[in-house]
Amino acid sequence: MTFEDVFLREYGRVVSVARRIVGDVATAEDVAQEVFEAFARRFDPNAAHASGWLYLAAARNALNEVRRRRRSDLRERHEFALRGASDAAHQREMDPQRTIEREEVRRLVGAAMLRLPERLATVLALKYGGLSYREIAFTVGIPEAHVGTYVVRAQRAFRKEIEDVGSY
Amino acid sequence: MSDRTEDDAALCERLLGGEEHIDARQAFARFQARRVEPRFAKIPFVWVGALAAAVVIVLLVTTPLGSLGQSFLTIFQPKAFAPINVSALHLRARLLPNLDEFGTLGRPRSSKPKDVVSAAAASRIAGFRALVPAVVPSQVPTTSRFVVNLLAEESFRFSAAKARASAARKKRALPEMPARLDGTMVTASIGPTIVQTWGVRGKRSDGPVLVVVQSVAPVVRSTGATLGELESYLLSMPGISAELASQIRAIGDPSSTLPVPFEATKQTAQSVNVDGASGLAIGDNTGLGAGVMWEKDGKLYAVFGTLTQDEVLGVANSLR
Repeated sequence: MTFEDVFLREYGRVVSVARRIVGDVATAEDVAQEVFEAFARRFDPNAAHASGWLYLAAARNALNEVRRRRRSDLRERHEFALRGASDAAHQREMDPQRTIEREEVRRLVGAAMLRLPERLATVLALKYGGLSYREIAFTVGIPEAHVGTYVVRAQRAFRKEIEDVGSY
Repeated sequence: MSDRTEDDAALCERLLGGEEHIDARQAFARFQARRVEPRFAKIPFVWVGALAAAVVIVLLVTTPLGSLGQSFLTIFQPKAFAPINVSALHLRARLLPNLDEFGTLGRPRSSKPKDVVSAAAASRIAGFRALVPAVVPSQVPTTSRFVVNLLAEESFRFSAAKARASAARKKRALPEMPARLDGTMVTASIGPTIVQTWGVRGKRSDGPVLVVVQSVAPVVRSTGATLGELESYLLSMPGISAELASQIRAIGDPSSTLPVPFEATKQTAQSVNVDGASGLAIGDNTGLGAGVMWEKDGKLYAVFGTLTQDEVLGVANSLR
């Protein structure tokens, strides 16, 4: 199997897993490109653990991307406050109500994912990214029979974090 | 399933569910394009520094400076640039050993980059006056931002024991490290640096990008150990072809010439004049980007972006 075969087979899943954490497809595709670049540097395409590594790396890189974005958002807000409200470009971006709502959901999801233990965040991203319980068990390294319990715990913890972050 | 569990699952489905339509073939084409885009950082700076140092060190053995032995020498400070063709034929990056296979990277020293909104603020922090372009191509966003970094420093210490251990572990041959090279430390430092960017948000860009870099010229220092062997050691690494090695050996004044990697199959490199100083312009035949760098009065300048070479040179010549 060539690297291209692995890419074509797994790219959609890797994007899908990352999207559950970063909240939008464009950023998830950026994360996926980085993940495949790292994969190409490190592994043979026929490595037995290729799929598992790609999914885990997608979740981990997506969490890092959310951390980076939070830092950069804070910096931009600070700069925006310094410049005052006359920055037309910034206003254009902030203007449409839908953009604000979408951004808000993305921010909430990202913040909640960061507050979860990494393993639970990963299980959620894998489940809603379309992996079967068997695949989740293989990727995270837990018995398949326990995956359901993990998913319920992760869903509960996620909801709690969303409520906490949302009311903050 | 309890109501609460159902509620949890429903909320997750609402916020995390849904499908995305992904074109993996198109994504693969983008992936390949990314890998051939002009990236000055494709070869890590330490590699460039180490290769430059390797060449310079040859000079040291043949001059009285070599007798300074273990003292910390400034062995490299760029005033000119030499294009080094690193096409696939010349550099098989996948074969290059990682630096940690034959030595230890020191903890990088770096000041925290400061984001500022004006050239005046950037100049105050950096301690030199930031030049700003009078001309910016119309397709580039009008607002820019400045990032100032006071110092970035990387160091590397060669270790024969590590080289032997990693060669045994990976079952591949690395050149035998000469005894006197063992323990030599090479340090590359740069800064203060002011970077002004247009169209860049974090690691991403939404459209045309322009970047202007100005910095106190970088310096590479060495503890000056077993000099001539350093060059032959680095240039004999797997992945570096005889052509690439001879290009580096052919640099006229290696103590002040920065080797700039480019891919001749996809890019062009030519000498240009910028504001009275001679510089090097690297363009991309595919139209993906172009850049120019030059040195003047102890400062290193670079302008690059997703623009044509003429546009990049126009920006460079308008810096005031």
